[in-house]
Amino acid sequence: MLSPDLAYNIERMKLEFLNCSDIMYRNCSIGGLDRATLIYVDGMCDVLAVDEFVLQPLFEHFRSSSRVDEEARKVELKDIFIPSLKISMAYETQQVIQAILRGETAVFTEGNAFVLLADLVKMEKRAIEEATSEKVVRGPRDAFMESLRTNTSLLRRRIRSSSLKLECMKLGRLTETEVVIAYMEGVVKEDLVKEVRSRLQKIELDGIIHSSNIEEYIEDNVFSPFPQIQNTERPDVAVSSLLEGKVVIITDNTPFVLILPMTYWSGLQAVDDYTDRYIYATFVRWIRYTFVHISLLLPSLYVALTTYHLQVIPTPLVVSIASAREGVPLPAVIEALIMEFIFEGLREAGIRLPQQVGPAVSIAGALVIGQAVVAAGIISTPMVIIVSLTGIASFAFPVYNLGTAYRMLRFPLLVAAGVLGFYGIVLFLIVLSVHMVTLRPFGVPYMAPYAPMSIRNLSDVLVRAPKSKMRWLLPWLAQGRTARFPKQTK
Amino acid sequence: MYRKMIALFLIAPLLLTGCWDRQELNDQAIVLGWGMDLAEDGQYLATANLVLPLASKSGGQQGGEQGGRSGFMTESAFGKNNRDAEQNMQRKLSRVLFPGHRRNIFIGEKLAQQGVFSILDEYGRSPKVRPRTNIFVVRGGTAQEAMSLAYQLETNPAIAVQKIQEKSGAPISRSLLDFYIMANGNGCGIMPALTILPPEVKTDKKSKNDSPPQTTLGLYGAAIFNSQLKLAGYLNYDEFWVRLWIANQLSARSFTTILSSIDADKPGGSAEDALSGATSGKTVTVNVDTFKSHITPVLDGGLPSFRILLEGKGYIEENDSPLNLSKQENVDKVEARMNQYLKARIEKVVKKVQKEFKTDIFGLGDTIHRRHPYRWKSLSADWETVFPGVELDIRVKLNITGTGITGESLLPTREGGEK
Amino acid sequence: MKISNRQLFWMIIMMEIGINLLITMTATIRSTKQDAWISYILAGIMALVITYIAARLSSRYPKQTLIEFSAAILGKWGGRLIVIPFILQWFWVMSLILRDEYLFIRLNVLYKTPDWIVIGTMIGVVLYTVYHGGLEAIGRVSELWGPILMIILALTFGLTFNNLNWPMLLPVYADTGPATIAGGALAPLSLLSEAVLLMMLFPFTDHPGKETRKALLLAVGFSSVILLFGVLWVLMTFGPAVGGRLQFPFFEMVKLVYLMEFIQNMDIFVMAVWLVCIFVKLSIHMFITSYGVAQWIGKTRSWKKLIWVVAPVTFILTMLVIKLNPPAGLLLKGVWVRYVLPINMIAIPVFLLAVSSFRHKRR
Repeated sequence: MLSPDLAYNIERMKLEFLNCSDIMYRNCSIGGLDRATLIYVDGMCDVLAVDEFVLQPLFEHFRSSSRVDEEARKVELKDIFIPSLKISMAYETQQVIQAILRGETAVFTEGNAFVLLADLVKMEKRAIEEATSEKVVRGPRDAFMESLRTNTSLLRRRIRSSSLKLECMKLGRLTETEVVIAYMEGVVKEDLVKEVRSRLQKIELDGIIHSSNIEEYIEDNVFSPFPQIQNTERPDVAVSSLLEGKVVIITDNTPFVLILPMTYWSGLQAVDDYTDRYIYATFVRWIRYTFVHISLLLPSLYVALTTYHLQVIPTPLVVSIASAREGVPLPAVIEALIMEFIFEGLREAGIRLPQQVGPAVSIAGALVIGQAVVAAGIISTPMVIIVSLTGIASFAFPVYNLGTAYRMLRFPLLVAAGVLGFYGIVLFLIVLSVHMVTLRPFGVPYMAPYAPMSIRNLSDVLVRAPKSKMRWLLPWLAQGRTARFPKQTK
Repeated sequence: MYRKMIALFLIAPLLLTGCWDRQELNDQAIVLGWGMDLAEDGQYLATANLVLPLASKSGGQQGGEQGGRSGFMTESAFGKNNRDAEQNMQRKLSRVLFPGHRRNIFIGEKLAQQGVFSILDEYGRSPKVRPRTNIFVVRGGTAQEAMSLAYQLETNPAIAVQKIQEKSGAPISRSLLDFYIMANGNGCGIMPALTILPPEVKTDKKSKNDSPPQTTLGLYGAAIFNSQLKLAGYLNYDEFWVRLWIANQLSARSFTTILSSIDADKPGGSAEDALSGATSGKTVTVNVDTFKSHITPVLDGGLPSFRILLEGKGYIEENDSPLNLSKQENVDKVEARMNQYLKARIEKVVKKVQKEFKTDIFGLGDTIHRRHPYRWKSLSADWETVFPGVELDIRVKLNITGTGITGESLLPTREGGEK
Repeated sequence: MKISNRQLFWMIIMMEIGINLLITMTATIRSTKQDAWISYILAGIMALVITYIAARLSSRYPKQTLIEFSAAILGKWGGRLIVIPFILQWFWVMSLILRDEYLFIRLNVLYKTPDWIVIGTMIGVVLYTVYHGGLEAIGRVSELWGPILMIILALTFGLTFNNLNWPMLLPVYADTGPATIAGGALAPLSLLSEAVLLMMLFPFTDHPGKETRKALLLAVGFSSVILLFGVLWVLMTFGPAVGGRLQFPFFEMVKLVYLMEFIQNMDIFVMAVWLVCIFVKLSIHMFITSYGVAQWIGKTRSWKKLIWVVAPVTFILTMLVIKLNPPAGLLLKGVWVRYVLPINMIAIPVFLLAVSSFRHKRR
């Protein structure tokens, strides 16, 4: 409870915010008497607005006012801030502290056991910029950013319908991070939203720093190498997922929103698939599927074929591989493991380097791996080709963390190929496919709509059909009605 | 989680003790060809053609220095059969013999004469070996002689003969399989035959960089095996296509015949002219690329006889005769002449097979078996004795579909021309 | 744990094609020569009839497995008694398939790897699948790999097309007789008829009924057609004499693929999908064995615990089979054709169907 005594209130606040150097106090002394005190967080409020809409009216008010009537003063005090959009009154200390930490300006006044809160928050934020982790050739350029409300506005701007719901909740005991659950009412399955809500409520963390904290908490299978929740920084991706009946979670202070549930195939669909002509998009999609599997299989196939099943390689090829490998001291498995290891290391080294140093790493990598190692006869040329092809292929994933899954699975697969040859590869692939079909993020089969199959949804998996042919929602996501739009002649 | 850890611990020893079958590429001696000969004392002499990996690393930076070495080596050993010889060979080799690419098998003439029953089993039994394999008889020589010969166009002579075989118009790379199938059907067999061919005319090497023709391996034709799978004889390069055509397996062949000036006047003329082989006449070459054969057994009492209709489609490749081929009737004349010539040739070869080899390599017995299975039951027992005497009515029907890019020759009209 | 009809379709197809394409051909071709394909047509038709009887029987009890409805038909103890041959068969099948798989692997891929590794890894994978995913995972994996199997088979048939020599199929019928042809049909039939295990799977489909029956018949029919193509292709490639002597003629035929010098050695892909087929078949058997035994002892709920018994038992049985090494032909002809086919696949389903409909009428 606040007391009517201004000095007492301020004292309490100062005690609360001991050693918080960013909390600012501004006294309004008129005629040597402290009549009011403003408390705000430096850097979070709009100083000009506070000057104009709070401070100036306050001074005016105290200068002119003579009445002492409690109730009237309350009304009057509120009235003078009318130009400000959001104004509220608080009677509890905790309430006030929360508001101040949100960036609101608290006005303590002498003789009043309440505080006026002016929501003149203005935080430093960057402008909306181009998406950096998901580039497109043709498509909108804007990307999500750290500010939650900007992000919701990016969605709202695209879906001007009241059925876009943006439920808000606060997560993290200390950080009190705002999280918004966005979904399209009438499209999304209600159970899904309910499930998301309840899983979010179960989170008991001290702080939510990234959206990935949430991701790991609400995922179905944390031990799976495969991502079960998609993340994106592109509003158009989020919007198209919303229209497909998925749920989007926006976390404050994170430019990456979460889309759930994710399916394997949505991890292989790029934005450009939908802006390119559909024949070309289908073609590109198949190239991508091929590369995806190359990125997983190529090194282990090479190892299995050259050390176990030499007879299946065409004769001229086997002769040239044998010649290239002549004098290489390492067994093919070790060779492959070392090279893959080096490649991953190079990638890791290059990824966070300052831009000025980046080329140095790639030059060293290209020189060391591409040339010196082969010239020295330590690694064979075909292996370098295999590893670099695999490396390129592993960047063909439109969704980055699906690529990391395959990149990592390559190593156990290599070992399996090294021990049991092609038999090992097949067994590993069987286990992998069993794992993938048993994943059910939020009740939606991960491999849907291929296994379990829903034939009419394959128009967005095996091919990229023209938009008018992709009328169907995934049956696992749909609430009763599965057609997205009526059938058209064109 | 603990369960997963336990599973990992169970898998770990598997990895540590694993790799039972792992065999590094460079620890294997890749066998491209395999030869078998009969030695004096009844043992077999096996010869292996191995890839020399270092030498095949041509091009690039090092190619030049190693030019001195050839791309293959041969190694040999005695043994009681294929595997025994292979084991004996292994003691001389630092790398494990790997037969997975053993696509060419050479058999010395002496061994072929003694019979191939004793060695042929392994080629169909070993799981590492591909069923698509060529098997050759080396006419007038041993397998080792043939395999030791370097081949200029390819780094490895085994690959060379394989490619030569592929261009011969016979089914590609399946002579071993066909041999098995045939031996099970008719009881006889046929294999392509190789021979060592010295250059037709010896030319001396005048300077270091000259490259006159050298002694090399070439296709001789076909070797014919009788029902004991012993070599019965050969069909040479000018004859072996006859069997392929009748068996419906020929895929390409050019035929050259002579059109004398008499021919130019009236269609027909004497076939002997053409067969005499005189090159002084006017020759025409037809390249035939589509072959078809229809064998009709005629069984009315007594001995069976056959009507064989051979069809072909092709175009004229070369015309050194004065005929003006832009006229259809002249093309018809070529066609008629060609049919006559081919018929004579084929009949000659068929006679040779019937009388000399006495083996039904044309699959005539199979035709009866397929068309008249019940009659075959009584015939099959002594087909071998019946076959040499059966009557064959051979007709050739060539269809010339084109004359190349000119009709009339680009040369000016000469004597006897413009008909 | 529900599977869709389509998943059932793929499961049956994978189960039927894999092993059948590999091991039954030799025996049939050896006895019926170039008429083997007639045997296969006959086997396909017979298998359809057998499947139909079993499916008919199952659709009378759409919510019950074989173990449950046999008890419903014959009473508690009679029902338990009559399914004993099935449970024995399932154990037996698993070890036989694993043995065949091992033989094949040893012959074609891994020459020195010890048997317990090949068997153990496969059982491990199957155990993981059945324990972790149950029937649902098996169904989905079949659905995932089934189309891939079809594509690879289609490619195989297409790419070996130019090796075919159709006169090899002649003369039709003359060299054999009706008895020989019918006898030759027994081997493929005894494996095709394994589809009667649908009596265990039927209640797991999400709408057991007419559609399920259709899917089952379609699957058996489709596999018969593929097998027919397989045997025709083998006959026309190798002829009856060589085809009847090769141990795995279909696989050898694939090795003949040779196009443009570089498209060759398709065998490795065929082997991959073949292994997946083996895996599906094993998983189905592992599942129905554990589930069936659990129901048999009356503890359906704890069927997953029984996997930990079934898997080691299978492993031991397989090792035994490998050590004793009975000839494959004897097992197929002596055991499968003589006992399993007439008893498990024909007599028991027909008997149950008869008793069931008799009781139904009397009521």
